[in-house]
Amino acid sequence: MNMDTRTKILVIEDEELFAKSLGIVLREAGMEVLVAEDGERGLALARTKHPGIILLDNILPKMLGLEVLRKLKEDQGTRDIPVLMLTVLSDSDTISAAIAEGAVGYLIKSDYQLHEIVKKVQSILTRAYAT
Amino acid sequence: MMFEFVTILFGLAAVGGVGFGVWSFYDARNTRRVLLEQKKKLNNRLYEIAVLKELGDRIGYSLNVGKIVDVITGSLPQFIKYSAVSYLLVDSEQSMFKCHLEESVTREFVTEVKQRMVNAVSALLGREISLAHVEETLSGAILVDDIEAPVRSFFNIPLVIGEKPVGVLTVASKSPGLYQEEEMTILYKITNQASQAVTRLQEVLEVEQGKLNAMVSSMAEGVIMTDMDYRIMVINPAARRMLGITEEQEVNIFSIIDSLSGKLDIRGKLEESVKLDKLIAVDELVLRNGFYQVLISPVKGKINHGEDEVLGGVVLFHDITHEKEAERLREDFTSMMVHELRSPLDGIRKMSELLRKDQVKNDDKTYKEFVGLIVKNSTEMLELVGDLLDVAKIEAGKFEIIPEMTDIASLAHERVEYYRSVATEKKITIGLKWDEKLPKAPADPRRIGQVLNNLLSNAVKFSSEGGRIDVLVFKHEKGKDLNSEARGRGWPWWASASGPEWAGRANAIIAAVSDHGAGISEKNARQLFNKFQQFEAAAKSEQRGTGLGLVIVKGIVEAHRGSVGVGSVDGSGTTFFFSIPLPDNIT
Repeated sequence: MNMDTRTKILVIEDEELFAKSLGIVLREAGMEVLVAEDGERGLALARTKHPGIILLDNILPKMLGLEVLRKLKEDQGTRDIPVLMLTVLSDSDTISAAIAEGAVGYLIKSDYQLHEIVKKVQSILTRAYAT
Repeated sequence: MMFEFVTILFGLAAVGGVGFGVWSFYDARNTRRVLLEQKKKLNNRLYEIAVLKELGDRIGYSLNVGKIVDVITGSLPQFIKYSAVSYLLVDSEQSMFKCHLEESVTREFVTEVKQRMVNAVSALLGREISLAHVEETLSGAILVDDIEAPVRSFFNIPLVIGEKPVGVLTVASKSPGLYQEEEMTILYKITNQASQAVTRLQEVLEVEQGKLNAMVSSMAEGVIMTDMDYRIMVINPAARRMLGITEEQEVNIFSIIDSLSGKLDIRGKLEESVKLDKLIAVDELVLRNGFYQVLISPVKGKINHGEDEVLGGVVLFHDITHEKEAERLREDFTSMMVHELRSPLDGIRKMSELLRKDQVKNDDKTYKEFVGLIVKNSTEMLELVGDLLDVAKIEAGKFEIIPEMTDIASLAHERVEYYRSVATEKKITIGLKWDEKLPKAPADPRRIGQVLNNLLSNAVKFSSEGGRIDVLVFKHEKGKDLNSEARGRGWPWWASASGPEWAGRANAIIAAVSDHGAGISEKNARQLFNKFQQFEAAAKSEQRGTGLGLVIVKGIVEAHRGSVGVGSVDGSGTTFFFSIPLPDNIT
């Protein structure tokens, strides 16, 4: 795993404000940020750009986040990328389904400030790519 | 029944009174003989009345022919002399011979009586009754062997219910020449009367039973009734459908247990209910075709004037699929609404966090972009909150309008101009066609403007680049067909509003928005104005939005006593339209 992958993050999120704000703080932290506004585009970017981590919102146009997650885990090329689910609700069904489908964790957006999200992302990356 | 007895009693008293008066002038011997005869007649008559009265009482609660005959035979000794009184009732499955001995006779005597009765019934029915299939009950005096006493006097009375012979009643004696025509006639009359009463009651019961069956059959609830041995007495079509048992299929408790296996222990629940005499409710049963609430209850009834007795069990299946679906939609709706509001709010907060940072504050381009996004998002949220409040008011029936005489065409013109810039971005053309000399209509201009906004914004949203939208405003004449009115003007009209709900309407202003897209299916079109359905569709679509717009359109138009409609022609386009009724004095 090279440095390039470890600092590349894919945010699949249709909420423009959130995606933009998060993009700014993540870039500040030295990461390369890719944003996809719907599930299909997110899936395509995951397959071609090989991000080190994916932040995945559940309620997305065209394809729900859980469906995207399932497809990511089915694909040899993407199954090892850690996926952090983003939710706005403490929707226990979605959360447990996400964990069952192989998400590395979940994050209720409004519970975290931007810099806390960055920290969480960094800690997942460190754990996932520790040598 | 009671009325008849009273009449008979009165009649009797009158005859008796006159009789005594006349006969007192004759000689004593003659008088004595006549008096004896008179007394006998009176006794017979009293006997007849007493038996009939008892029968009347009994028939009230029993349709059992055997019991009725028991009453007649039980009372017989006070009336005539006999050795044995018997009846033979013939059923398709089992015939019953019941014999009561007033004095001891031989076995041969009983057998002879029985054989004679079987012969008589065979003759009545026109078919052979086999002695082997007759169940025998003997009561009264004991059988003896040592007396030589064949049947010497004998008479039969046929038992007929509803013009159908069901058996015979027989009186037999060891003594010869006992029975005169008079006794036979009275017994015949009593039997006949009882038979008629039973027949009438049976007819009434059959009609009632028929009504009851029709009612149970047509019930939306599934109904199954069992007796104490869990034999299925009733299963209605709804229950068959719910359990997946066809009309042709034979049903027993096992087929029901099978079809509910793993879901509900129906046999156990019935047993619990019947034995403990309690009502059992199962709140949610999932069968292959839906959700059901199940009630299991004992069936009770009075038998022989006694206490309530449990006669069996009844299972009621109430279909709650629709409620369940509505509940699910409601839950989805609420959670989606929370998402729609909470998500941008969280975004605004996160952006504000960033705006505090110097590097963002000092970057003019980013700063303006962020502020612009905050304005856009908060505006959208405000609109959504407004929509939600409108929907809440519509649903609570508290949606108020402030009508004034409004020119709908110029309102439409204004809205079209407003949307033209957005449409031009997508290279969409918007055309406006209206009737010259269109009367003003009583409408709330702000609210009707909102309706036009919603329809136009949808049309722009769902039209592809380079498309065309036409806004039409015209006057509908009462009794005329909207389709021909619009098409007659040469306008693009894709709805099929020719039904009676439109033709008979009062004069009205019709406003319509027609696009030239692919069209939508009729089923989808119907669901467009339903809050939850719309919301679900919107959540799955790639277009953002809550889908509440059309729900509000419908609410606003209906507050004006108008109607909304939508129709589509495959490949040509879709027309959304609404009507604002005109008062009678405006032509």
